[in-house]
Amino acid sequence: MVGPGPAAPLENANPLIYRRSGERPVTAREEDDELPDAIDDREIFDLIRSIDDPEHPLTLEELNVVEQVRVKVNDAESTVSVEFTPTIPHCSMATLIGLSIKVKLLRSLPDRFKLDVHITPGTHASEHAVNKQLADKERVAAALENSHLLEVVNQCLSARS
Amino acid sequence: GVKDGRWTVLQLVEALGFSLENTDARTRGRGIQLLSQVLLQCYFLLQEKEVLHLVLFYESRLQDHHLVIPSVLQGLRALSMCEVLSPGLAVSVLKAIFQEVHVQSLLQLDRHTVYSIITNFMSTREEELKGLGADFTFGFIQVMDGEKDPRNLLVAFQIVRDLITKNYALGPFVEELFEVTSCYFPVDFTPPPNDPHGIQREDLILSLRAVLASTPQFAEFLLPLLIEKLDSELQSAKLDSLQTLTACCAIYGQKELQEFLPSLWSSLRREVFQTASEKIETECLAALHALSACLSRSVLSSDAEDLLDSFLGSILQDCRHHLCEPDMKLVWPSAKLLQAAAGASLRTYHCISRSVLPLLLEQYTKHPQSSQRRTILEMLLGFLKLQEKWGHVEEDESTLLSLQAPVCSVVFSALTDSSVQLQLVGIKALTVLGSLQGFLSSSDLELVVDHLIRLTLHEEDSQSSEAAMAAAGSLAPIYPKVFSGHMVPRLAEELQSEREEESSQDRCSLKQRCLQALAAVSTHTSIVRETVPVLLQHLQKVQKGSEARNIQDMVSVCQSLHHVALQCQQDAEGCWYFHQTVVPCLLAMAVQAAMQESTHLLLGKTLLEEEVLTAMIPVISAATTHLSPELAAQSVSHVVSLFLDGEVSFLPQNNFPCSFQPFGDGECLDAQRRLVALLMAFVCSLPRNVAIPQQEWLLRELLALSCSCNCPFTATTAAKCFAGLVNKHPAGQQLDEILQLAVNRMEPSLVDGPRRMQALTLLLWVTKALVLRYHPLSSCLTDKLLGLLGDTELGPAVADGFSLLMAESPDVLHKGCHADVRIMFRQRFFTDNVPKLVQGFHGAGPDVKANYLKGLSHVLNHLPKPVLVTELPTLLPLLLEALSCSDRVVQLSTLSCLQPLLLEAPQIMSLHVDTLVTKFLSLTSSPTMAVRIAALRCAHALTCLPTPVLLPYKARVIRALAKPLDDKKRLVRKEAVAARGEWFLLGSPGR
Repeated sequence: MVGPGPAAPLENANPLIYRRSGERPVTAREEDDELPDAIDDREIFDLIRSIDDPEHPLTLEELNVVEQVRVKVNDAESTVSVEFTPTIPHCSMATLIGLSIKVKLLRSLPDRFKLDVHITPGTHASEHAVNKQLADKERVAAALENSHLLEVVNQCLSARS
Repeated sequence: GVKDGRWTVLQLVEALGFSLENTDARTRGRGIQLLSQVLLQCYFLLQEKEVLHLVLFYESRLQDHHLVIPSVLQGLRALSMCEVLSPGLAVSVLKAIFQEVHVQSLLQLDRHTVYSIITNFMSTREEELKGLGADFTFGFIQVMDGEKDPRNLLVAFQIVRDLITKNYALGPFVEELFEVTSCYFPVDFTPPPNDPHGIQREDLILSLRAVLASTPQFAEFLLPLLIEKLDSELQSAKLDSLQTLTACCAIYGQKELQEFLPSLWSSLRREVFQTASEKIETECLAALHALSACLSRSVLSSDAEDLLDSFLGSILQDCRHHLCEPDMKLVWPSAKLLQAAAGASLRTYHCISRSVLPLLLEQYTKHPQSSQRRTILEMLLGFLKLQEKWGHVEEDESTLLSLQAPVCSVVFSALTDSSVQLQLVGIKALTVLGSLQGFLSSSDLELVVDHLIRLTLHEEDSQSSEAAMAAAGSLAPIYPKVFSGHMVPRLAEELQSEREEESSQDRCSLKQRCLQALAAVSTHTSIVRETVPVLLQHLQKVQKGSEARNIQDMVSVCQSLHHVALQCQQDAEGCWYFHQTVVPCLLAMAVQAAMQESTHLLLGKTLLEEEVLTAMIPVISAATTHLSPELAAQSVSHVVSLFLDGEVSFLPQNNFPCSFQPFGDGECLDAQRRLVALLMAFVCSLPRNVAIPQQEWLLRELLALSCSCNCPFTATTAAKCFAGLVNKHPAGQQLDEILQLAVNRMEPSLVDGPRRMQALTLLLWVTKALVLRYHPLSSCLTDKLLGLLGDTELGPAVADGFSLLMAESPDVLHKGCHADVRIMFRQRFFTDNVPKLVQGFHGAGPDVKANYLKGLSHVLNHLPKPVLVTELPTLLPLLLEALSCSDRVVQLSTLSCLQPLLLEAPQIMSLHVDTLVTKFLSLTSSPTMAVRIAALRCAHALTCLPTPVLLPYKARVIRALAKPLDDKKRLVRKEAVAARGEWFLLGSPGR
């Protein structure tokens, strides 16, 4: 789970770019002090769409790595499931991207949620291995002990200035 | 003694003789030091002969012991400032220094002295120094070689720059001179903390850049260096190289660039294609622009090849094909590069647009998806905007003209597309095409107007509709006939039509859009003359109707009229037309409605509703502020006599059943009194030099009305009107009398009785009027308000009143309506009154303490942030206390006050980190959503404090912020996510 050094050439120099969805418009209901707003798919998508790709100065949304239709949340049962799609089937960044998504959700969602982050079926060569790593709590925790890895993840999660 | 002439220098030298010739170097040094000090004080008194001898003496001392040298240099510096220095001496001094002194082994201050001597001579003895030829340049190169101190470097760079720009002979030393300066490129310097000299990195960068970019002679050495640094990993080196390259292009020609063009282009391309930094991209594009401009400008010798064509050729070759892949990452970098080059000159524009425009048009048809078409059209728009830059071009030269038909058809197709995003780009493109003179034919124009009408009225998405209105507004002044002939009648027709088949909801929104569009298109006087009657007619029609939505409709018409008024303001003729037409009409309608009320109770009453009158105020105000004094004087006499004498003859329909006397007594006149709002809108917006007839009478009537009227709307309006007039009233006895009268009326009512609120409202507005103009009475009135904060009944209203005092009010007492507003009034109010507020707070009983805090937080909220930051240390304890106040208005305004302070004054705030963390976290569970949001924003802003201060709290904050992640409100969760995420990054790698 280690990214390339800064000097390595890009694996995919001219990728397809997708448009960013705009800010979610604030509704009158959301401004009402009394009414509760449930956590919905769009809210989860908003958490992860602005994560930066470790390679490009682009967001996961712009690269279509994450899409709103591949985000499922059930607020009542406290479950979240996110599928992500690497740009190319041999993308060496897949684990790192998955880890960034997972960390972002861990930091942004209440404890009660059970998270499931995995690769969109059939879009990556080592899909199974990556999914297994992401599902393993201990391995995720261990990965975040590695300061180099944590640095890359934090960079992906830092709000763009 | 030498200074006032009692001693001559000769006598001094003789007196010092012993020490000047002493064998002990220290004693000699002290002697010379004293002599030099004296010379520095009185060099301007010296005679030519004296100077000669002193120079010879000092020159000989340059060979002396190294302890003596600093004083010798000081002496020479004094002499270098003498005007009477004989010819030849400057050269001889410099030669001696170059020969005898190893400058770089001296201390910083002494090196600085040497630079000063050279600078002095260069500014006064330029011709003599040039006589030295290249030797001078060489001497200087040796002097500065190895210099490290930034203070000295700034001087040395300036000397080199003068050497070059004043045409000193560089001889064979061009490369040496380049080496001795370019070795500092790119500047890498961080000023030490607490640096008293204040030299910034930027100073050195600019000063060095001025040297490097001062002559084409450096080009052959500089360009390879720039390319090398551009290829490095360091962002700052890239930026500096790019900016230096851009600076060089201003003086370089084709000859200097020729050899390096291919590598320059490949470096620039690589950066734009790969960089993540917008700054670098911008600078790359600027450099490409400068290069292309430089090549376009170069005068060619008859046999030379024109490099511009081949340069642009390689840009096209590398970028053009990317334009065909509108989904890919490189499409925009390529388009930007092409546009940067195309924007450099008319020639580059033709060359590039000839190749790119047909390609883009073809690609548009090839790609059927809206999102792809949008990208292509956006690029096309970029090129069209460049055409605008060159204005009208010869017909046979313009590529664009030859493509007129396909360009129009592409743009029109975008306007009918189902994607709103594509429509929006199409509308922008339409605006640009319309502004190109002679591009659109008259049949195209009619089509354009049709499209705009359709988008304005029938497009579901409000973004497109608004954009279409804006486009109509910007095109209308270019083609006034087309718009007044086609668009206005269509809109008017639509507004009047009563179609039954549609639902009333649709009809309302359609009318709404018509009203907005009529206002938007009124950007030319001839169109205003068409639209204003339509709007007024519609207002009259709505007034006669009896639908429930009347109020909203009237407000909409007023908003449109206001919009038109704002657009007319700059044009004297349009402004007068609008005023003359609209103001009497609105007054007449209002007066009529006020009269009718006494007879028919329901009919036509809506016009007098508070909302409608409030909407009319900005219309009348905007129609009045920009009047010329003569025309305003004409109008003011009519309006004032209408209100004071009931003189209605100037109104368009003046056939009224009874007389108009808004200031008269009698119950049935309540409706008429409400029209004071319109009087206020007019009379408070007049320029200050327009005299108001019977002003004292008017003021007395307003005063009486504000104190006695039972209707809060009327009383407040009268108070505002009174305040607006008092603010502009010239100082003097008359003003003092009327103010005294006001105080006498207010005081008893404030103490007790049924009209305490009215009296307070009047007090607040009059205080505001006087505070704004620094009137001496203002402090007395403010003290009265401060006293009332302790009143259990009025206290809360007074506290809110402080916001009224500090905020900009929308209708009266602001700069736009010519009020007397001193720029620093808020600061002044702050300095005068905050200590009293603080004192009052400490002395107040528990039930009214919150009033003082609320008043204080209103004052602080309106204070410019820089002032707030400097005043912070004294106020912070009180603000922290305010956080514990249970009033949520106080909590909210305190939080919004603290948030910018956390960002701007982290050092001071970090002293209180413990309290801040605790209070913010506890407020995140406030029952009020707005407070929770503000508290989370503050918790987020806390991360700007120095990390070591925060780390002890990290775990606690992260734990506490987990709770608002599960808040029931989405907007709160969003802030919690942002704050918590930032706290996670604290002290963690990769932040």
